[in-house]
Parts: sequence; structure tokens; C-alpha cells
Amino acid sequence: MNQTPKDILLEQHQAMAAKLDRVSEGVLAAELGRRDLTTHKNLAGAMAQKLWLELIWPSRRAWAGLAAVWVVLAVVHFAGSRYSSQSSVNPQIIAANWREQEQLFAELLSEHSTILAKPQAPAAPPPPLGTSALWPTEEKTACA
Amino acid sequence: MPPVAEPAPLPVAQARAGDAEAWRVLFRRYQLPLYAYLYELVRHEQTCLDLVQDTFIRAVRHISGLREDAKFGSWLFGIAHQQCLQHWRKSGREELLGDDLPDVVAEDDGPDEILIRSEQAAAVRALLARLPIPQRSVLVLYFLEDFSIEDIARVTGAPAGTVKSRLHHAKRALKKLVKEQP
Repeated sequence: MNQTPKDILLEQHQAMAAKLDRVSEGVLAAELGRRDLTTHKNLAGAMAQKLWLELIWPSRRAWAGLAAVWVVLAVVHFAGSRYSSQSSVNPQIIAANWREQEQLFAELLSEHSTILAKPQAPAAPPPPLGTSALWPTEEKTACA
Repeated sequence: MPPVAEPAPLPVAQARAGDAEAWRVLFRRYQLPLYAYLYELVRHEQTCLDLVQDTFIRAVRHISGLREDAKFGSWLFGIAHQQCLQHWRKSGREELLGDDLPDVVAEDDGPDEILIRSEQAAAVRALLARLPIPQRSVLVLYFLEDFSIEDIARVTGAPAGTVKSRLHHAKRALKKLVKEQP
């Protein structure tokens, strides 16, 4: 029976087929599994890039303005909170202020009650309409 | 003469897209010829298995660099050849790659034209083992995959003229053996 050189070259290695199958499967599992991970990473990157290009970049000035406003608000917020935390007043000072306010209030009340207690002079009747201020009311009555 | 069914095209495009089944088909198609080729060069079972594995890993990683899908076979054997050269460099055996043969015009006969009787198989294997590695390399590529001179030149990185010369000398030695063997 005749054989080709290819037959001769391959037939002596037929026993290696099972080992070669294991090598192939190992490479497939390792490399294509790794490629899937890489693909997922690439997918996340592609989505981020798409988001940037379609959402952020076309309105970049609006986003920049908004970001500036946010920064200003954040600065104001933090500065205010720092000031308020620094100027947290001593309770004793608050109590002293409160007492001072009470005292002032009490003084105001006492002054007001003193004014109310004094007799008030009757108010002069208003001059009749059309009369001159040069002619007193009594004189006008006497003449009549 | 009955019509010969053309072999199904290899799923190289699907493999490039990361289809595991396509890679499985390609690996099944080439694993034994690759091993046989590497064995003729290295002659060590475990080293050959390692080299086949490294070749497949590189193929999966660098498939995007393959320009013509039809050249997948020679591309894969080229990777295997490079892996073999690296192995030799590591073990300081680079001198195995050199030969000094005059350029000749290659004969135009196919690899299947040399028919060998079963009882001559052992003698042919022994002859292959005696050939210098560069000649052995081109002859095995020629027999295993019916590669053209250009394909073999691409696989081995040698000029086409050098490949022709090596193939001519190797085939002449083989034919002589087949004629002489009883």
C-alpha cells in the first residue's frame, strides 16, 4: 500500500490528538475568556466616550457655567458653615445678651407705663371751617 | 472522474470576531500538522506541545494582523516557526538554521507525486531526520500543507530562491531514497 509523505508525517503523531485537543481547549478557555473581559472594559469605555460626546461636549458651555455655579455655591456653603462653626457663641454670652435684652424691654415698659399714668390736657377743638386763624373763637361769639 | 467536493472555507472571519467555535474548528484543522512540523524540527514531545500552545495563544491575540483570510494556514505556521526559532535562541542552537546550497530551479511536481510504500515509511522518517533543519523545514511544510514556494518563504522568513533550492535538494534526496529502497 502506498502512502503520501503527508500520511507518513501525520500518522506517527495520531496518538497526540487527545493532548492537542486539551491544549486547544485550554487556549480557548484562557484567551477567549480574557478577551471577553477586555471587551467588557472596552464597552464601558465606549459608553463613557459616547456619553461624553453626545451629552456633555455639545453643551459644554452650559455644563461649564453650571459647574461654575456649583463651585461658587459649594464655596459659599463651606465658607458659611465654617464661619458659623467658628462663631458658635458661648452660651454664657447668649444668656448675658438675653438678660440685657430683658432689661431693656423692662425699661421700655416702665417708661411707657409712666407716660400713660400722667393726666393729659384736653385737646383744643379744631377751628371751624372757613375761619381765619387771626380771629379767636371767643371774640366771634361775643360779637354775636 | 467523480467530482471532488471543495473543502469548506475556514471560518477565519468568525474567529477574528471572537467566535470560540470558529477557533475550535481552526485549531482542530491545524493542531496535528503544526505538531508534526514542530516535531520534525524539535524532536521533543513536551516542547512541541508547548510550542503549539504558544502558537495558538499568539494566533488568538494577533489575528487582527492577518490581512488575507486565505493565508491563515501559512500565517499560523509562520507563528509556529518563529516560536521554534525563539526556543532555539534560548537554548543557543541558532546554528541549526543555516545552510549553504546553490540556487536551483524548482521542479514542478506536487507533494503527492512522491508515493512511498508503507515499508519505506520508517526509512523516509530516518531520511528526514538526517536532512539539515532548513531543508527538512521546507520539505515538511511542502508535504504537510502543499504550501507554495512563496508561502514557505513567508513561513520560514527565507528568500523564495533559497526555499526553492532547499526544496529541490530535499526532494532529490527523498526520491533517491524511494528508488533505492527495495
